Amino acid sequence: MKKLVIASARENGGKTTSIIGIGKRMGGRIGYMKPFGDRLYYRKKRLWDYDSVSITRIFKLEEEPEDMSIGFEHSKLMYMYDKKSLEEKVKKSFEDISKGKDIVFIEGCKDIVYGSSVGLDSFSVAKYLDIPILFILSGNDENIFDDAVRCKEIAEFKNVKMAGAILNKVKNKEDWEEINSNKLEEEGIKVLGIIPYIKELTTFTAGFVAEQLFAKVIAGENGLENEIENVFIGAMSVSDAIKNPLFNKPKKLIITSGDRTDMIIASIEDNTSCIVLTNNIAPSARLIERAEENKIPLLLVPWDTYTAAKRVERIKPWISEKDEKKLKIIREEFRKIDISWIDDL
Amino acid sequence: MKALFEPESIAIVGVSKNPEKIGYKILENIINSGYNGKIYPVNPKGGNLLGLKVYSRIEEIEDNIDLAVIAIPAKFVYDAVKKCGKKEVKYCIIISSGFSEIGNRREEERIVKVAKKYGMRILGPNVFGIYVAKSKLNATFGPKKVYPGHIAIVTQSGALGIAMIGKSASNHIGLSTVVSVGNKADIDEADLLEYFGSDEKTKVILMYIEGFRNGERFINALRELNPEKHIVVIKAGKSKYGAVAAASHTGSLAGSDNVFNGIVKQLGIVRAENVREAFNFAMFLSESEMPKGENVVIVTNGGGIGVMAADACEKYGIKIFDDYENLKKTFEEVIPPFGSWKNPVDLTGQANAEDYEKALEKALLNKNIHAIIALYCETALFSQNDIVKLVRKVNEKYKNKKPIVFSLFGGEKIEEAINELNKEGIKVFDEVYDAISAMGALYRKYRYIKEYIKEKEKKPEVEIEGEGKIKKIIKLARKEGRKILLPHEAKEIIRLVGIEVPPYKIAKNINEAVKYAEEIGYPVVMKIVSEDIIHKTEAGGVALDLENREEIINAYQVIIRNAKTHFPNAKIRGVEISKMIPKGVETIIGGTQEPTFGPVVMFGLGGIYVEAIRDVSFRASPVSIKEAKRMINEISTSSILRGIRGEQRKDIEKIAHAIVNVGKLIAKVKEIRDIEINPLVVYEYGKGIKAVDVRILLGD
Repeated sequence: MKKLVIASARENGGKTTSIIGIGKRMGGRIGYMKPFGDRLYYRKKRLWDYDSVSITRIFKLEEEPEDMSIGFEHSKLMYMYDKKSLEEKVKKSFEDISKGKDIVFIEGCKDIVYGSSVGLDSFSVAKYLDIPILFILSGNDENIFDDAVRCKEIAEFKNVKMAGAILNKVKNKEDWEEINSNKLEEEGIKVLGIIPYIKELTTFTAGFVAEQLFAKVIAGENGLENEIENVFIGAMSVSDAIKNPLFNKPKKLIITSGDRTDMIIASIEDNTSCIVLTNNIAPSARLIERAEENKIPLLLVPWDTYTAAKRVERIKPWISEKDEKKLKIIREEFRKIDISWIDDL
Repeated sequence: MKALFEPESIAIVGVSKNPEKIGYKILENIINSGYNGKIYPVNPKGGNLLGLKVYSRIEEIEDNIDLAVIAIPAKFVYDAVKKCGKKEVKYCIIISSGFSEIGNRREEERIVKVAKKYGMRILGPNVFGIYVAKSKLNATFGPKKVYPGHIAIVTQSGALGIAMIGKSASNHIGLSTVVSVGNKADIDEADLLEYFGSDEKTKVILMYIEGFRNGERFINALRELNPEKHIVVIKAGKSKYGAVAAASHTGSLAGSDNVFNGIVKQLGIVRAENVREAFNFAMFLSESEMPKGENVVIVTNGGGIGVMAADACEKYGIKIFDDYENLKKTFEEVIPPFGSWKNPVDLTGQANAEDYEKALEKALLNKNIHAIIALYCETALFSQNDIVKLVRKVNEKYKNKKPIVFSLFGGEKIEEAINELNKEGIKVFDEVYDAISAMGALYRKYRYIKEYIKEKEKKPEVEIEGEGKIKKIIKLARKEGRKILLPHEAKEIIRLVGIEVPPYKIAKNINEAVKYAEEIGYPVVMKIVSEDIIHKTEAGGVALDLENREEIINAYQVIIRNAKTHFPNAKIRGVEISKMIPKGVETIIGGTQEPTFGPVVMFGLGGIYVEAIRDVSFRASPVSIKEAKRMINEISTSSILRGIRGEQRKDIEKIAHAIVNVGKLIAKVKEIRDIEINPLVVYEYGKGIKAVDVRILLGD
């Protein structure tokens, strides 16, 4: 059985994407756990991690997603465990989840520091289970260099094995392939793969926005699968908005107040994926009808435009089992990298 | 106020020899109206005008002055008022404009301040003057011809006031007083109500209002007013655009229309939609006797109009007498073969004047019939003269005995008949709905007097227990610079005024969350506690129906994480654990310091419905138990509370008490700007209510 802790130095680095990519490439029976959950999926009083939900559904795992995480908040972990009992719990969970599996992925917390105080950070988990860590490094060039060196230092300090690093969302892949990777190798960090920045992987659906904003969907339920690539704040006049190149981009989410009839009409007529209506102001029945006809979800939220925009900005893309396009891209990208290093684990 | 309405001497500061000037017209009107007191025109140029000596300065007048009418440019008004003060003038009417209505509030305040220094009161500025029938005083620059009568007009708009005087004259409507209040820098409607309340000549006070400087004072004056007086109000600034126009027009803010409608019901005011309706109401109410009961009979010579009248009665809340035995006995012998003695009493088109008179007499003499709606359609069987004679005779004979309203419908001759009767001061309507609407207004007043007098004697209490504790909670919030009380603070205040709140505790950590949930007992509800997170549900800060320790732990993690993620700068004070209560009818009770009317209380169907259907009722605070029950019955969904489709009646008594207590709280603790209990869950009769969510906002 192969086992790997997948960690990233920064939030939203591409851990789950890498697990999907490697998992699909490897085939066989997959095991998965994310001891410290951070993307909360709360339904019917049950608490899961979004990533656990993705992996369970994509790989059709039999385990319940709620058994894949030990906790979601420091306070809970402090309340229920001390460091020793937590280590035992991690080991026990791993034991349960790894039975009969060919490869087990343990997804780390959102960054390398998170969970340190309760002993549930990626390094501590790797240490408890004596499993090597694969780092997923992303960001600009400097970030990748800095993060790689720091991760290696901590791994050495904590006496944790390091499988190497996959560089994700890389904007200048050729530079990395030809020059930068060698520099990392010189630092003693194996570069196991380079995945370029792919815009399609950063999209999310209107339905996901509604869910993340706890918004009321007042029209266009039939458009909740619409993809969103761009966000536009409709705070200016329509004549000014249409001059803005962003407004003319496809697959956009518009944030505007419910009483901005002109902006809503212009948005419905344009290539818009969904409209977030702020201040709890619902538009007229006619506009609701038009949004419905055009399959554009209208999402009503109570906040002002600034708060709504901030909340939209915080939404992190999520890969659902229904995102065939995204899954295909991931499969194709990971097919390009050599994964023979897994045999050495 | 006597010196204002019944002055023994008047000085007119700013008289002019130019007949086109206001200063000339006012003097001319005072002289022509037959005023018996002393008149002192003042103008620096001196001389004589209209047979009177003109004084160059007010100080030259040796006599005492009760009232000074000032009609000079705005920039000279302050000095003139100061001189009047020194002269010990009792009242000043400032006709001049150019003050707060154009934003010059500071000058207006300066004038009031100096007047107060000398103990002098100010009417205006920006007014057209005053007319008082009993003093034979027309100190306005409006029409010369005014008929004396029993209607007092109080108007905020000068131009509309002048037009109303003209209209009343052309319609032969008698007035007791006309006062223009203009910018209401000092004297306002509340002061005037006090005077009209004791003025025997005034039966109806007709007011045109755009906004109030101090609505709470006005409401208190209405509460104190002699209930026999009728108040007819045209309240402009109802629509969004009307409100903007009203604000720019007089520099005062128009109040919320919903609130005003509630106050209208609460204080027995008749609200008119327009001037025509206001005059219809005022004239009919000033002439009519108060009914002695609810039984109304419609007498008609046209079936169709009778049916319309019956519909109108339903619309305006008039009870159609339905004791068929009595009706048969009363009308059988005067009804022609194809007529009907049932109410409406249909004499058919065959009836002549004599038949009609007999039927009316029968109705007027029947002690079980308390008011009559007499409808007449023009027929060949009785002439214009006949109907005029008949109405005149009935009016003379029964005017002081029983309310009767006439509606005559027909062509040119009937219109002439209506005009002729109206000129004699007998209000006759052409449109049946107008007639019945006026009768409806009379009945609303009748019920108001009947139901409210006892309550008025026993004014709603304002004292609240636990006021000290409430103020302590507010003080703490103020100290922390908060204007929104934390949920547990708001709940504590509501609990202190006697409204039941489900058990709750604030957990600071997960250990406490589990402990408190077990103490309170499952199922429980969890909510984030943070003054920075207002829309808790939309922030993912609420978890319902938690039934065990595991669910508490899950919910705690989610709530805290959502708050940290979506509101990273929010100060999180913990998580409220409260008992999940059984389902009931969700209602809302609110209280607010309404900018125009002062403290008001609101009731409606709550939860999500309050936003969707806005089915709410308002009243000025404080309210009595009876008034609170009226608020409950007034909402269109009140049948839900009375129990529909076999459901039990809900605990309306407990809701009424809660309304009273919220009313007391908002009236007494003025630091509270807004209170909202939503939902207030109501259970079956005897099982009480529970305030689930409470929001309290503090004022500045």
